[in-house]
Amino acid sequence: MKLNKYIFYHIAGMFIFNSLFIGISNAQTCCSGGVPMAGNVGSMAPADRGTFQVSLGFDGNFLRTLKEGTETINDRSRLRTTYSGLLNAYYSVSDRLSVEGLLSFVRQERDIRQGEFNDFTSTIGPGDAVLLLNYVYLSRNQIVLRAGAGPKFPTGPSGLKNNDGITLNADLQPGSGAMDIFLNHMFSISPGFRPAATIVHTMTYRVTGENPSYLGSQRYSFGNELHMSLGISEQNLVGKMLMGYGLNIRYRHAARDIINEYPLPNTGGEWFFLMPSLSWHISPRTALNINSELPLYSRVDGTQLTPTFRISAGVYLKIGPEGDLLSGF
Amino acid sequence: MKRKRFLLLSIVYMILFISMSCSKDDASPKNDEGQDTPVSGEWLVPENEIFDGGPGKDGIPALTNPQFVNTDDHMSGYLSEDDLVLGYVSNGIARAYPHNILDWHEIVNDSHDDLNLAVIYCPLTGTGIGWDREIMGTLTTFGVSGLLYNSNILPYDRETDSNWSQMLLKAVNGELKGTPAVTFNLVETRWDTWKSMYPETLVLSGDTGHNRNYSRYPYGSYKTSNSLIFPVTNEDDRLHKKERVLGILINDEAKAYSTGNFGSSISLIHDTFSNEDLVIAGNKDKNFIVAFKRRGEDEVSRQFTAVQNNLPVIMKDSEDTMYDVSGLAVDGPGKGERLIPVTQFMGYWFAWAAFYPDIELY
Repeated sequence: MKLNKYIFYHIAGMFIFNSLFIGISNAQTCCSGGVPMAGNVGSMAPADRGTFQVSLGFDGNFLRTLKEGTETINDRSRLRTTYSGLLNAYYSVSDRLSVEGLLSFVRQERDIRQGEFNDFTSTIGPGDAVLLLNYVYLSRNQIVLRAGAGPKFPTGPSGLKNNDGITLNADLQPGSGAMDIFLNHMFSISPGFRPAATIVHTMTYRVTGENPSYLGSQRYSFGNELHMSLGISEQNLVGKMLMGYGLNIRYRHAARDIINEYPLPNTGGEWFFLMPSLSWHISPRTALNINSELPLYSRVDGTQLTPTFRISAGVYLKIGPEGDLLSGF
Repeated sequence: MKRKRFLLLSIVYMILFISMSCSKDDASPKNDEGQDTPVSGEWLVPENEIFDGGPGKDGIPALTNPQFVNTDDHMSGYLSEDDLVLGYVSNGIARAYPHNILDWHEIVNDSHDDLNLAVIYCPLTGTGIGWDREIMGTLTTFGVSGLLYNSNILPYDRETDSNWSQMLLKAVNGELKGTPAVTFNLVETRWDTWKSMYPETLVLSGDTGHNRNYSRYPYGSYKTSNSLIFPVTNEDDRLHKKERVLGILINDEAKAYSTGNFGSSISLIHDTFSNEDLVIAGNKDKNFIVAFKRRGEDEVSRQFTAVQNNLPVIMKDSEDTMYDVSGLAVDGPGKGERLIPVTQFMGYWFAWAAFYPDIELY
């Protein structure tokens, strides 16, 4: 009965959260390869006081699918790739309060192959950084509810030029040049039918700020983003090694980018992804993990390159009083 | 031991991150050697006012020798009556290059008869101009460089890889830097007007070899919004930024005529600009404006009268010679003669004001 009540509260909260922010954001997302920050903040599980969790990962996001609305256009002449190195650190100040930081290092690539004509451009540099304060406001009967909020700092460059001194557009910049706010909510439950099974639902909303000096004199802001994921994870011993596996469905919705108050066409949209994941617990405190992201459905505003495939891999370490992985990530 | 190693790696990563965070915004990206496409040499326009538009070089695919169809062919079905086209008549054959296709491809490298024409159109400045593809005796095609200057397309020629400024009408970078473009004046008007002028016209086929929705304008509300996407060097609020004007260029001086200067029937403006006597003919409803010099080779400045309901004829002179929209005398004592054209093209007001800050407005 109590379980139903918590689920009800969470769903009600989700509904309000979504209605509120989708209403504000005007609906839609940019085609940007995008640094995968919103998909990573809030991904670590709450832990006991004094626990330090850190993950170091690599992410490759490949955009080769050209779409108009929901229709795929038969044109694979362009490939936009974003490679990101991500360092995510999470420290539990108390059983309820935690601090989370996310640093990124980014390589953006644009590869065009139009018949006999080829063109390749890339940039590399530090990306933006996120600092999040999380609070577990309910932890009872295998249910955890946690809320978090914090800024994203514009630590990455947003005015890089190519080798010929020509300023590249926002999509190819490692940083956004804008201070954003991240809001995060997590609901997890151990349903009990398996000792290590966990169902997790997360929501992250990115309220984007404005880069006041885009191309020198323009004001640019990426569209506000909503990310929601629902997934289940489980762990089993395979031989002598503990293996984890999970399956998530992720929804992303983003508003159009705005330049000088003008909503940019061909930015914004919504996407559903299927995300299978695997992890190998190489010690009680350390795990290697690999995730992929496969697009299930997307509806873009206008015509855009949209994700074709994404893969990420990393190493995770948990240091703390209890220091085992079974309480999961 | 493993934990220490991991922590050490993390610390190294953080130090690397922090040190690179301090890098300047104008630091060159570390492009892979030999993979990026260099743009070499000096520019005739300020380099810091040139921007990467986003799609990249050839990310917007130019068309080369595309198919044309008749007006009743289903492959012209992407056009609505009020869509704008750029028209050109050569040897009695009219061809229409619709904005619908140019919005997606920006350049059409065309060949017919002895003419090698590149129709270059910039959706952001609304400017469409015909250029000769034969440059100093060499035939070339043009592609979309993906670069913009004053929000305007910089086409590149594939023979020398030189970058050209469409609205400055010359090469601004590369081997051909400083070379002027040889232009052909195109008539911009509504599709139904062009068809009524030239019922046998050919029009670009919707089958371009590229999978695009040519019935859809890809820039949202851009053509009516008073906002720009890219910075320009000069702004002028005498007109709405996206007001379509005919700009003329004489001796590097510019003057603009708005569609608002004309009524619902064909009307004429006899004007003098930069020591040239001009006649400007336009019709707001039919949506066209064209300009010609009034003096012919005989140096006599003529007076014209508008002719209604006889398109493509738009005016006649005092000797009753009838002239069509391309300036060709099609009837009367002067039949076969051609009025001397002025370098001209339609475009958004903001673009003309950005490139030619001293532009006069009629």
